[in-house]
Amino acid sequence: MRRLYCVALLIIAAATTSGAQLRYTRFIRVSLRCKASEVSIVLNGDDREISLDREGQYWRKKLPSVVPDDSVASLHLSGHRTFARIGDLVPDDEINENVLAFDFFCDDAPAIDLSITPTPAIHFSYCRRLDKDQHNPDDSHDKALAEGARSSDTGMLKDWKYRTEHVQLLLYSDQVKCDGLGLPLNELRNLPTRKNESLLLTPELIDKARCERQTKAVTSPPTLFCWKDTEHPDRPNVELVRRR
Amino acid sequence: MRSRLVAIALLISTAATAAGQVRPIFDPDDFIDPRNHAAPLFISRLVAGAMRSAEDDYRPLRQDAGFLYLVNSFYFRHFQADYKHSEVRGEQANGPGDAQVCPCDPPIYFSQTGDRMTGSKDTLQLAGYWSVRGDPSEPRAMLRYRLSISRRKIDTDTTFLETGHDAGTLHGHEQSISVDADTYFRIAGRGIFGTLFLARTKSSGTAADHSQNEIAYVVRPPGTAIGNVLMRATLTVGAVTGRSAAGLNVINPAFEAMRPMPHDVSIHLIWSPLATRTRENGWTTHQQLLVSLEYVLFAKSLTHFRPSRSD
Repeated sequence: MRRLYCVALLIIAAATTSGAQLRYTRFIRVSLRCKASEVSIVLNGDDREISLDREGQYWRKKLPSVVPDDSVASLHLSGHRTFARIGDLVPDDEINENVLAFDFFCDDAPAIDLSITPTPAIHFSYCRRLDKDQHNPDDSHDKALAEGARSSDTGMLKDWKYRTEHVQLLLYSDQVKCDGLGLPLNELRNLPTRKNESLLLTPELIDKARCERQTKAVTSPPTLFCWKDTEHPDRPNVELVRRR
Repeated sequence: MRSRLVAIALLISTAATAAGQVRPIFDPDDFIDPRNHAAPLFISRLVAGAMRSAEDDYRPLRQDAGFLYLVNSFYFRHFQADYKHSEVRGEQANGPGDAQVCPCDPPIYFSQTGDRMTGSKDTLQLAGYWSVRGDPSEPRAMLRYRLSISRRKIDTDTTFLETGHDAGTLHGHEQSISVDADTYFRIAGRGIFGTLFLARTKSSGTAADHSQNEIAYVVRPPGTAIGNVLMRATLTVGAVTGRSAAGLNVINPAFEAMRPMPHDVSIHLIWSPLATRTRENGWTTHQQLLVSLEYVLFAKSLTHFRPSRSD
């Protein structure tokens, strides 16, 4: 009987210790393998970027709250954007604290800022997905970073790699829902190519873009069925203006 | 290599079994991803058109035909319910069919109508949507699983064998029950959608009762848009039991173009070359062409019944 208890205890101990225990810190440390004048970080999909301070060879920040050691991040570099990486919790002798350390390569792909303004004003959100860092095939982080933000009048999509980065614009959504179906901005025709150029998306153009996407069988079987959004009778025009 | 591919295609087609074509060629798409509507949605559509060299349930009607089709669909969260009614009229011959009957007990009927008769059909459908992991950079792929029950009246005028006197009219019917399930695979990093159909059809009270089973798989590669025209192709491979001695094998590609127009109208054009094989006749091909106009009679979001958000 005692032997049975021992075996049970061993199983319980093994089960509880095998689960990865999350550790937390409020210190971020970034090493960047290219030059940048401004660096801000997006953590765990929250598009409210946090600007970092240059300290020697690293960029650092003390966060107002702790973050787990499995956090995923990417960097805004004012005109460029890094891929998404997962951090490592390591001791830092310079500040005598454990820091969440990220090591970023840079990406040459140009990134633009795009302002989004629906008229009349409605709630909207967006979800953008960054690929994992292709320079690091051994990176344990195998999923894109999904991030989003919400707005009720004008929103700014910053440092968007518009040829490659997937962005879904979710009109009427006051929640960031990356599992929702939105308007894929990177698939739109006539996207502004120069600073201050704009594209006006009428409700008809938005319907057309949705129909084309259904036909292309991205998230459902190819469907030749265009139905109008009757849920929202006062549908807005959406103006997209390239700011950089 | 080519002969091996043909052999594999034949193997797939013969491995497949059954059919009661619950989904006629003029049945328009009614898939609406539940993520596209928060409130319940009701859509009623009318489709009218004509078929050149029409066929029904993989049977050539040997005539052109016109049709009217009413589609009512109700979408609520991840569920869908449909009621569909079709009226098909042939250019030359329409129901009821003809049969002769012997003056015996029980009566034995000898159908005089070789081809399938046109007529009306009612269909009820219930469907559920379910998402699976799709492209890593996209939201999950949404698939639909649907049960369909359809019924059509088959009337047959009968006359006595020897005298030719009127022997009354048989009021029979044909019922089909079918299941169709969307599938999604990823091959070499690309997502491939398809739909598996299983159906059983049985007729009773007719001059020539029959039953058949059908299995078919529809490969649904991505479509494309050229200007305002949306286009797609499908390939159906399947088989039907209860047809000829050893059943019927089917290979049926279809090419469809659709152009949305103002005032909730859209124009559809479908070219559907059908290849069927029986042991007796080998492979035969049949070209079907369809032109139709689809008009949205009514589309309404029932926003009063919008589910409350759970935040």
